[in-house]
Amino acid sequence: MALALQGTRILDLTDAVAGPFATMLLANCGAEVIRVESRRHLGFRAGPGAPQGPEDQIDFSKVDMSQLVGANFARFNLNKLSVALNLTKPEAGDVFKKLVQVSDVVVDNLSFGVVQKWGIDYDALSRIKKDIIVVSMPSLGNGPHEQWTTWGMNLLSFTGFAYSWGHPDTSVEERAASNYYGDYIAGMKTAAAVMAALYHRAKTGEGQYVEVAQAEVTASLLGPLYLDYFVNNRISPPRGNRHPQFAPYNSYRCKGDDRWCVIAIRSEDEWQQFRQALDSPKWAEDAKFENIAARLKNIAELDENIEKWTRQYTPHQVMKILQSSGIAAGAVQNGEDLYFDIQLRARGHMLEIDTGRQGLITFDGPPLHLSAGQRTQTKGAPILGEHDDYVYKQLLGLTQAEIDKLTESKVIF
Amino acid sequence: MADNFVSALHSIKVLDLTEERGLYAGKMLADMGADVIKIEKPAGSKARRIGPFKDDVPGIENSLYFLNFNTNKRGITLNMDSSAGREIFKRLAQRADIVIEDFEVGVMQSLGLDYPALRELNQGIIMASVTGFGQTGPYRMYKAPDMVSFAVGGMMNLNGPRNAAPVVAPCEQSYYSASVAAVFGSLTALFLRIGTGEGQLVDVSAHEVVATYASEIMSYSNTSRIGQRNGSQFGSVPGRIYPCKDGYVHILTVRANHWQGFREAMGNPETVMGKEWDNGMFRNRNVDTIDAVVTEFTMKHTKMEITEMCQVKGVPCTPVNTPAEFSQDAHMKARGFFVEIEHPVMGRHSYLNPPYRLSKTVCRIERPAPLLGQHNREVYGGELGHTDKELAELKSEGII
Repeated sequence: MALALQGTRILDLTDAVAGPFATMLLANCGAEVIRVESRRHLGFRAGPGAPQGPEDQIDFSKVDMSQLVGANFARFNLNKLSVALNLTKPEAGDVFKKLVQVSDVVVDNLSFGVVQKWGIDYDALSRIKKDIIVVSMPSLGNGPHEQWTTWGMNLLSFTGFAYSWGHPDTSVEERAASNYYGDYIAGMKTAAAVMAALYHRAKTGEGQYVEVAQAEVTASLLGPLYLDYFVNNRISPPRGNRHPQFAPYNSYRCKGDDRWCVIAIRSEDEWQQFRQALDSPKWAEDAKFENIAARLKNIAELDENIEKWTRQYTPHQVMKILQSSGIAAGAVQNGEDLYFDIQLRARGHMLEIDTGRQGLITFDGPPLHLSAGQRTQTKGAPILGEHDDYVYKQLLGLTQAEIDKLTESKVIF
Repeated sequence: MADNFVSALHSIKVLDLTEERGLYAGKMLADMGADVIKIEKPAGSKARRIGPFKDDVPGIENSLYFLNFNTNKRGITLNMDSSAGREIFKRLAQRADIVIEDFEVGVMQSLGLDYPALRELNQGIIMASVTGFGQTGPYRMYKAPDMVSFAVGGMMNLNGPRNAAPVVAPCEQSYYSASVAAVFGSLTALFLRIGTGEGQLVDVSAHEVVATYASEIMSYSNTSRIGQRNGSQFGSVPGRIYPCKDGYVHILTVRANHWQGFREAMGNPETVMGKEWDNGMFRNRNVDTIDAVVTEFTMKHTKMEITEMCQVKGVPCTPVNTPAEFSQDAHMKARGFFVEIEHPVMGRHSYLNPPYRLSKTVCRIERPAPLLGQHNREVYGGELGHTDKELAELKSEGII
């Protein structure tokens, strides 16, 4: 079966999470994604056992390059190729431009101003290939803060996400801002923007420059909160797990150490079903809980009663008992639960890959299922420069002598 | 819209049947220029009953939640429970490229409108189904409002203070996550269709998308470690939100050069000058000393001062903003991230612009969410060719 992006070549100048995740999503659908990278900057490649210290102090003749495929790197670089090219050398820019001539998309998340410095920004590239699509993923993009260095977690704080993510009594210091959520969404949104640009090019022949600034992506996930401010001039404290319109709707302790479930009841019918699922306990007959207004008013006592019940069961038991009665409930799954999750496994989410050195590792498969056009076989992440021969000889037609010369001058490095 | 308006998806017609979980998918496609028709039941979408509301007054045209997720869309009403309504939907589907739905599994089939049925009418149709647990698997019939997807997907357990309950993210992030995945899937399907002429079914499970974003599966498989929640702390200490003179700042020292830069920004305090402090593990073991030194520094300065002092040294640091502060940020304002438009009921106020800039194809908010049934006449009359008399009949029969 044809893959959706078969015949589409993408040059990948990204590192960390958001960029590599974006291009991996495209690789999953058949794009030939070539990581253009260098021993000069190993970034997220380095895993346990890899050489330490600044790259310019490492003697690469003594390094087994297969050590530089850490599992954290691999999980965002499956199905890709890799070519070694040191873009800090002026000659490398010419090699890169030749590669652009036979490619469709270039994606970067380099620091501000780097592509300009290397002479490979959209202006330069569109001059040598008119219909090229160039995608940049800056953290903030052009503007007063363009020079800022940020990680995705910083942007959760910058955009108001962290401020709003906590229990009502959680101090600002302890609000949730320790995850890669913003990076993942920026990656997925960038992949979507690439598809829109590819579609436009297929219809019109026109390439373009696409900028996806991660700060804007992160803020865009808080639409209703921003409208509440713009229209009502209100900054709400974090809401926590309870819901302003529904009850019971919360997290509850379960049997076990730090084990939790959630229960979300959104109608009177569900409340009736819930009471039955609990074998109609006496407390639930009380007028204090007879309708939504009453339950919201007596929410603390309501949640206390429910937690007495949930504490007798594991999170998965609560989910099973309540979902069997048509009630929305879920186990708060931890990493171990996710690994053994029967739903994810039944859907073929888990990819088991023999990574060689690190043995068999399970990775997340594509987060969505297409009925056509997605790869069914997965290749592991590439070693740095693993596809030099393919790129330099087959794609660019360089001779061995030319390759040797570029290697000697550390352009191929 | 301007006559010369060009957008990446201007020729694409989307039917949006979503109530909550998939709402953002249609918005993203509409922002990129697709003609997205939001189909609501005659009494109005469920989303119109979800807050926040303007002035806290619930009302069909007063939901800021609905307003946010339906910019750039057109809106029609249609009773899909009636056979006449379903026939109208089929006529619309014959002319559409993408259908997005977020009903529970099996509902579209019971309406006779699942993917195989629509494919009979239109071989090229792409259907994106956005559900809590996906179309297959033992949990497929489970109910999944946002908090359930966030919990079972594993993100919830990792977020919140160390000694308190796990906490769900604001603004129903499992819905956003699933919707963005549905857009990526639909556009990939659209691109494949150029060559094959064939549509397909895009099956998105909010649980599965969130599970991917939880970043736990590979890590458990490789190291048997189970992630723990720990407030805002990430990487080596200092790596969290700290209080300062006028609020809070978020400082990270993930890499060696971050720590060195941060120490310089603090003015090289004596207490942490020894070589041992360069080791992140050592710092983690001495978190109290670090916190004392950092706080002494941060409490003397404002968040913008600290941010600038850190950024000069290449240290990832930003102010912690409320939505109000972010809206006033000079960078975001300079970029035109906020746009004011007029809504007939809400009046004129700001929105967030879409987070992508495409040099050749416009991507911005052009018009507010539709009023209930605002485009009935345009769509049913102008495009399906119904007369005013027929429209009146359909309305009196409760079909539109």
